[in-house]
Amino acid sequence: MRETLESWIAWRHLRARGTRRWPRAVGIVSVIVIGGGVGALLWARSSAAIAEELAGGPAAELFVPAAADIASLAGLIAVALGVLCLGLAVLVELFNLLSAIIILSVAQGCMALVVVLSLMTGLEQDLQGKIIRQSAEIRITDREGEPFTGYADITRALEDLAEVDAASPYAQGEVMIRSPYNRSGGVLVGVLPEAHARVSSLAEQIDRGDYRFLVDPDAGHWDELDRLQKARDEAVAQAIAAQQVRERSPGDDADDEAAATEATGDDAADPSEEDSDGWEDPSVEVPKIRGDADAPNDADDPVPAAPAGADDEGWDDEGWEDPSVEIPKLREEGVIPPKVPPVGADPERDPEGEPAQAAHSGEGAEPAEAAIPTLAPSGVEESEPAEAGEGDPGEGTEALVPLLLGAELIEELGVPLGARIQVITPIGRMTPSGQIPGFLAVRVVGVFYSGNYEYDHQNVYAPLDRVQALLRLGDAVTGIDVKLTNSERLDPAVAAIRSRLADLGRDDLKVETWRELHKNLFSAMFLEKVAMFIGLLFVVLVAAFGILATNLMSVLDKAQEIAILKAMGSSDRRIARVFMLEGMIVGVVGSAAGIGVGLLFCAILAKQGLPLPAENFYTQRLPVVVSPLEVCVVGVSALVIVWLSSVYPARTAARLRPVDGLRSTD
Amino acid sequence: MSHAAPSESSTALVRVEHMHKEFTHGARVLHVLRDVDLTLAPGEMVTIIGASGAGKSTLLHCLGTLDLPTRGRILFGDVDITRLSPPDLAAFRNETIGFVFQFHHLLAEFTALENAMMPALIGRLPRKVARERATEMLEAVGLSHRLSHRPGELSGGEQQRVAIARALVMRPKLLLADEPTGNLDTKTSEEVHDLIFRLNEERAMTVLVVTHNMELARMAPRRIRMEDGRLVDDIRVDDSEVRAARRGSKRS
Repeated sequence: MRETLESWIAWRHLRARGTRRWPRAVGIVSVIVIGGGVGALLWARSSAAIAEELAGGPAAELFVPAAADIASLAGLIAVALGVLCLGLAVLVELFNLLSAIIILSVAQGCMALVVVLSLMTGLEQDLQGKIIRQSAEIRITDREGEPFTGYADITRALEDLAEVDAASPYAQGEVMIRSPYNRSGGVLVGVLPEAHARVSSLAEQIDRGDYRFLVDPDAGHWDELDRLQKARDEAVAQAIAAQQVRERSPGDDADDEAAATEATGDDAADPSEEDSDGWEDPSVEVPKIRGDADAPNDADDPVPAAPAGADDEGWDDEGWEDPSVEIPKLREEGVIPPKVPPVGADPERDPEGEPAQAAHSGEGAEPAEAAIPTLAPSGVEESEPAEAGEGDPGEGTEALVPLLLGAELIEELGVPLGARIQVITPIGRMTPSGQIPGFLAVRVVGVFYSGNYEYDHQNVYAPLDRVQALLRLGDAVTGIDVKLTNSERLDPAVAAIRSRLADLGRDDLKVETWRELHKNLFSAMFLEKVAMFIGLLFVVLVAAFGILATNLMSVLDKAQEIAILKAMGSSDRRIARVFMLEGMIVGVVGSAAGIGVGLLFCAILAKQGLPLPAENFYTQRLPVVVSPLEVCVVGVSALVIVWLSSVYPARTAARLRPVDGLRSTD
Repeated sequence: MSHAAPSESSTALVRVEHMHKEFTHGARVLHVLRDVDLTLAPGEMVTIIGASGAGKSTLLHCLGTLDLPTRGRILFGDVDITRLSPPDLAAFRNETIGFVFQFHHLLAEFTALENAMMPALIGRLPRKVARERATEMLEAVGLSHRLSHRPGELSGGEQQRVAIARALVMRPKLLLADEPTGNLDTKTSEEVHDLIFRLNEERAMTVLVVTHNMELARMAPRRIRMEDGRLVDDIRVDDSEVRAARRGSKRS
């Protein structure tokens, strides 16, 4: 392409006049800085590799990973600064100083836009991915939100569709989950384990335990775990008792302390710590502890920990399934008092479970009660045998319902894997004395970590039939999750599913995509992005005012030149074009450089990653996703702004009367 | 006043008829040109003298279509240029008129050659042709050794000679010079004067020079004196007198 006269003149106007030495010096310095930064990054990477190698080894303690982190951060900053300075040096070498500064400010605006938008897209897609992984792309529910039946036929019919990969019915309800230490609200989701594994990646997200325990809860070493837990509880109780004894008679300090130390042992020294992370792998833990924690397995109980003693009985035979049988038995043993009025004002507490609780507090009356309210698991026994039985009457009473918990929830409940906890629903039986909430004794057979706080804190998964029984749904489900073969092609799949549902005559059901289900979240994120875009566009806008000012100055400065060009026969339009081009060259170079550097920065961020401290952020790394569309929008809007800011100076130049320009010489 | 015969008017290059130019400054109206009639024949060399503010430069600007008269007509051949549209005027200026001003008005970012090429490029001639013509003109003004120098690297006389070369590159029919040597020392002025006269003779180009320099005025065969916006004297002299004046200027 041959350059036109206008572009020739515009280019010459923008070019640097004379030679300066400092841009070269700055260029050399910035190259050195970039080199140093790259070196630091490489060193950080190699030492990260070393750290990985050392991890678990004896030398791991000696290695300080913080140095690598600092080096990688410093390297990143050095590279960024170096690129910036190099850019400035190149610009000053190419353009006159004023234009170089304007180009740089346009570039900065564009760079900020590209990087921030890419980060926001990254976060959005991260969240999107987590949502899709947890629950499939499409959800079928009743129009009124009521449970519906006949899901088996629908599921079968949907799975015949080419668009559908798998379908899984689920029943869900809000429940309260109670552990001996804490309680929390949650959403109980009943699923068919095999089907659900196909629509979501829950099975892969299991952090501890195993997804298959949902199908076959007996596969785990739960009995061992229970025994260990009991041993631990006893040890703790002993320690507490010892403490109390010591408090009562300070003179016997030494003896009691020794006793306490002996009793607590080394693995039960701090129950709160042990609860959260002591139970990584039962197959490893169980034999290990079995070796040194035999004592609590012995039948006799020297410690006045009544509930633990009662547990012992319940554990070994199957008497704990039915409190109506159990409680009289305990009463006979004198472990619990015959009749105790309800303690506390917890309305959700099972009246039948209360005596055990009361016994514990009544007999002990320790001040430590406040700190560790219900140490023994006796308070959370399965106290609704009728409910559990309804779902599957044939099953043995021994098995607890398996339950999958999120990592956040189990943290809050403060129980280890394998713990027995309780799920409580307000939907319960009517009895002469009023409605009794429904209870389900469950065992934590797995902990999942999806990376989505909501899910990890709320959702708990159990087999469908047990949940249906607990929530008194009969054979109804709340909805069907549908996984698509191609998650990009949402709309045709929705259409196909709708028509299939219509064929089945199920007009009462509605089909929603994940986008519709999380409309609030995504529209809020979109709005946030738009606001951010506009906010950052102001940076470009400020730069555009710079273009306006410099161009206007250049027009006034070049009044004589414009006059002579007109005298030589340049039309007004041509003059205008010269100054438009000046603005546009600055804008195009600036936005191209800015977008380029921004993309480079994104690439570095995506590759190197900015490690986020895990305790503050739910994502470990900043996710960066560059969307070509957004980059185009940034470029186009920057150019539009630059174009607009060039119009006024260009018009001023075009309107300049040659006579004025020629007179202004003197 | 108009003593032009009908036969003369048909061959005239420019005919100015009853031209008025007024400037309005607030409530005051300033009459810069009052009923100017002027005819320039092809190849004629005319100087205009007069006191400052007599309207010399305004007359030149109007002739060069840089400014439009308030009333009256300016005919180039049969075309009334006061009625042309701005783009047509621009094209007309480019093809027909060359300007030389008191200041050289060269574009600082371009070399002498590029400056001289500029009108040709504005006239959309191919770059190669423009380069050839500009080189030729710069040789004609004696600057073939300064082609790639920027204006800042040239002396005052050289700058003005580049400006003259630029004015002539499109081979205009009319060269308008507004105090072309007003900013130069005597010796350089004489060189520039000689150049202008030589170009007028060699190229048979109409030249109108506005000047304060009486010596220059005396060297022209036709002298016009302006006073208060009117042409008050229009003197034609013999060739012999002009030659004597030119010789005299060279001797001094």
